[in-house]
Amino acid sequence: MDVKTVSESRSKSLSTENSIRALVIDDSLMSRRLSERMLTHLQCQVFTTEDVEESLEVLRRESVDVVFSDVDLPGICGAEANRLMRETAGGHALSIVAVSGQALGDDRAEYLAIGFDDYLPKPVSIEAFRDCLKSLKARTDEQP
Amino acid sequence: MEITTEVKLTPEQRAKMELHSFLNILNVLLGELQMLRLDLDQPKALPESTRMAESILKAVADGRLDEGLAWELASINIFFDREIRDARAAAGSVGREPGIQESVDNLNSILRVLTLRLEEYRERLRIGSSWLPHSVERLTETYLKFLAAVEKNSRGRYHIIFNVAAQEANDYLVNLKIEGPGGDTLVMPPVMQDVFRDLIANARKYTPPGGEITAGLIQTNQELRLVVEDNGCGIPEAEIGKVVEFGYRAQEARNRRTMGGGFGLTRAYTTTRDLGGRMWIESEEGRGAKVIIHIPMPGGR
Repeated sequence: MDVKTVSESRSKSLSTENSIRALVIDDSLMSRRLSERMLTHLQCQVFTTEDVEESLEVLRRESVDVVFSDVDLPGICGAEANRLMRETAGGHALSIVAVSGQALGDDRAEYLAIGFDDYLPKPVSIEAFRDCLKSLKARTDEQP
Repeated sequence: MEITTEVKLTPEQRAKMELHSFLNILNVLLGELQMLRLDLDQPKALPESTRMAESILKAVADGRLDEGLAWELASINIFFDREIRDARAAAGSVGREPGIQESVDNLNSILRVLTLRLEEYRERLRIGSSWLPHSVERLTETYLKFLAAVEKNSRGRYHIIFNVAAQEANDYLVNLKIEGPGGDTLVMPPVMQDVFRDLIANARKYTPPGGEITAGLIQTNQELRLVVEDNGCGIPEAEIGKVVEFGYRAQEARNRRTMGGGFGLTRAYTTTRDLGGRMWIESEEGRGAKVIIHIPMPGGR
């Protein structure tokens, strides 16, 4: 099964030891590409997939730091997707962020309650990605 | 099981359901405008294009679709052409040209798609539930093109094939058949073309690669019949009657496995009911689902 591989950075300054490795899950090709470009601009090493099944393959193979997951994915609920992704990541610390189109009035607190580490409503701006990554990093740094 | 759920949509909910596909495109439009400003190194570039995109997004999110929106979409094209020309001139050699061109190409593509979708939507509104003749050959070609686009978007992850002898482990086998009483034409409300496409898209989404999707559309002298069947993850019996409710999937997706198709099933059901038809869903969790729609011909033609 072919899986999307690491995208190349326009600035060619990725692949450093300190690059955040981000996985974007979205069944819209347009959205995946845009998120990939924004995160690449923020110096992340980016993987993109269409669904959770493909994402688990990436998580088995790569050490991903953060997952940005569209919450409107078919066939699997947010809580179960969370559980599967964390299990697959094993001992590697993984942050999972819910990304929602908000057409139906999603509730940030509800997503946090079922295990997501953060929540971003669409349209996601570069600033929102940046702030989110900073916040997640600060939380990770605080942990013993 | 025949679906008899009472689904009452407010005008705003109905509009949101119809316009949901626009929202994602508009979100991407705003994101691409932001990327373009970054590549141009001009944080204040493209102000009118951005303002209009935000205005259109708000209108669509509110379920509003009127003459003003059509005008704004037409205008955004004009403003964008002018503003990108000015911004490129100002950027000179400072801007990142490969990135700029990529964003410009993406934006032009998005604006074309938006304009086309809006025209289609407005035409649907104008036609209403009128029954119009369709070429069977052209309809079939439309769906084949749609399936080809779905395959292309998978970037090689799976293929969609039509011959069981050629099916590999990661291929979807699709059986598609469209028939009319005269052979080369059938009569139906144009909106059912979208409903059929949405049901096929749902079937593909909820079936892993290697699965099978069967889709049939036939117009007889008495009725229009649609059937879409898959062998994917199916719908739990307790949820079958609920999946047509507006927003059901999003409400339940956080805590339960849900097989709703977003707005697709709601739209299929409400459209069927509006046309005086009936809908059934047969499903077993883990074994697939089958959606059946029967709509009586008006005046028994």
